[in-house]
Amino acid sequence: MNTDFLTDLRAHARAYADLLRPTALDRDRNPDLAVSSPGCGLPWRTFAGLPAEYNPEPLRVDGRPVLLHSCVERVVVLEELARVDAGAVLALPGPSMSSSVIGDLADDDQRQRFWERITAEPTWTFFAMTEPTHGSDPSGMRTTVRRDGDGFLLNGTKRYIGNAARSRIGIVFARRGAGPLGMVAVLVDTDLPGFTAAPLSTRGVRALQLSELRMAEVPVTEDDILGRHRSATRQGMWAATRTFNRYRPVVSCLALGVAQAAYDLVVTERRGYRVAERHLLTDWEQRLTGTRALVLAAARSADANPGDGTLAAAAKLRATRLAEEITTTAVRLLGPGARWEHPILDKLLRDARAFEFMEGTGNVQRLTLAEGYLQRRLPDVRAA
Amino acid sequence: MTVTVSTPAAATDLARYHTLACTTGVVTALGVLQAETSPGIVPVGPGGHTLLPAAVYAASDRYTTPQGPRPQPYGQKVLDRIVTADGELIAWRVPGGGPDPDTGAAWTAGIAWIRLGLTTRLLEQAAEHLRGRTIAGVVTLHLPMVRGILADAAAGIAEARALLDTDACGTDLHRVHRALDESGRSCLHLFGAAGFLTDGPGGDLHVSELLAETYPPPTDMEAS
Ligand SMILES: Cc1cc2nc3c(=O)[nH]c(=O)nc-3n(C[C@H](O)[C@H](O)[C@H](O)COP(=O)(O)OP(=O)(O)OC[C@H]3O[C@@H](n4cnc5c(N)ncnc54)[C@H](O)[C@@H]3O)c2cc1C
Repeated sequence: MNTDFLTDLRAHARAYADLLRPTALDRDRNPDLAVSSPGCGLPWRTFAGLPAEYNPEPLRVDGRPVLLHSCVERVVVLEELARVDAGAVLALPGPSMSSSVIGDLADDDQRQRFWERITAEPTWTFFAMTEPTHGSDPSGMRTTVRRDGDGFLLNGTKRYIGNAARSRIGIVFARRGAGPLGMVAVLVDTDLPGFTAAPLSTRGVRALQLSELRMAEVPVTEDDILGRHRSATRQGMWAATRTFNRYRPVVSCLALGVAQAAYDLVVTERRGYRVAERHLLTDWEQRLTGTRALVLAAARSADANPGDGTLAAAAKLRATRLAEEITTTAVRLLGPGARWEHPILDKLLRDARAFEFMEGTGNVQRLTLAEGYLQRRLPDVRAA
Repeated sequence: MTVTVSTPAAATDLARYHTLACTTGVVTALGVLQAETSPGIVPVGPGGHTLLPAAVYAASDRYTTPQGPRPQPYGQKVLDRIVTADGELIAWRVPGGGPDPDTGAAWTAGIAWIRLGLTTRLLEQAAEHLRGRTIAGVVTLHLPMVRGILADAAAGIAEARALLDTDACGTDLHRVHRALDESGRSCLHLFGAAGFLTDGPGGDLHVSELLAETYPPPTDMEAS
């Protein structure tokens, strides 16, 4: 994908992003609006990353359809949308992170079931890994799927799961045996007996509506186990890792969009700077450019090899820190009581703090990046 | 706008607000600070905002302005209501309000001590939270990288305390606030997603940040 095309793609996305603007604060106050108005003003099918046969109205840029299947396309488009409302991007109906797991693990029947289910009408999905006692440590996972006659029973609690309380289908990671290979991905319909989901109230990205899932003897069948036709090493943990590698650049682009929005707001609202403030703005401008280049490089790397998350970890570290720093300092630059005088800045600051945790905390990214560096997976290290 | 900086009470007196915020809560600490520095008068920040317990408004008939206290007007706009563990805080916009030349410095120093108390409490809670969690069988609090974040947070608190113990006032208080901001964000990182919940431990940090934004110390130009 050449630079001209990406520039045009960005311009298209920017025009669409304006559709989110009038309702961004309303959604922040009332996350249910993301459901009563699916897509939050955007044509949701266009931005959901659906397969071509389910997407009659794809974005068209320079005469060609853009299906948002590649990580590169996603980070360019979603950064522009996040510049207006990161919560809305995360609250779009559609496959979200589940599509990666479906792509890697589902057989033909499961694929058809998933896509038909979520494209008939606006449908949210979830990706449930985190548990109340274990977030960064999937090896401590307690949710189990155990054999019961011809089928299985699913038991456990998942916490901080985006969109789950409004979803009708999603993926639950559960333990079927010991060790990393014992983890499987289960495709779960939320109307099954024993399955409940309740929203949690969060400080930021409120439209995403994090939720807690409880599963008590939920009956599932062999048909619900993703990867059943795959080898023992190509199961839940393998697919989850590839999903994180593909979506960390996406989380990074959302953080970048929020950082850029806070910078834009300061430039628009502030009149007259001291010398030190001018230097600060120049520094931000340069860091935004540097981080954007890193996010794009991470997206290219994820497209080329989703098995490697080294650059994705670097991008997420940088983008997350930048979003936190710019939003926090912007509050000071806009004067006393800035969060009340500029409610959108208050929202940006709260949203910016989500990214530290999504798809692995900063420390988890540091560990991944250090390991990748030592394994000589970064481009400059390979060349040396 | 010109704010005359009067000498605030000594650090040994003000340290009580830290203890109150840390042990009882922000509403109690603000109530005592107001009763002792500005009785009967609503303290207003330099942007014309307040963030105070309801009882403080009820017990006051005047508000601070750079020209001295004025009778409290009616119909101030409520900007925010924040529920904390020891009561509710209400934010108002008070047109024409601002720090009082006589009591402003004592109030601003007290706010810094209260923030120190809130941040101290936050870090203690974060350590406690991680003492009860494990990563691959190891207590999360014992992981070296986690200790690194904890140490950064503790260093910020120690710097703020050291500055406040020197009776920091005026522009030195800015550094106190920045050190506490950094420590607060480190604490948030330590909590994981639990700190991102509305009713989670992030509440103390939210209030602490809003206090700094509502009642910032005077800038270089104002203080001179
Ligand atoms: C907005 C948002 C959306 C989310 N969406 C989803 C979702 O859709 N699906 C889902 O499954 N989860 C989701 N999560 C949860 C997220 O993945 C977890 O919060 C994250 O993995 C961290 O887990 P934790 O919160 O339990 O923190 P913990 O794992 O308890 O971490 C606490 C602290 O320990 C540190 N730490 C942990 N492990 C290590 C280590 N090995 N070395 C050094 N330091 C370490 C962390 O950096 C942190 O500072 C979401 C969270 C948020 C905030």
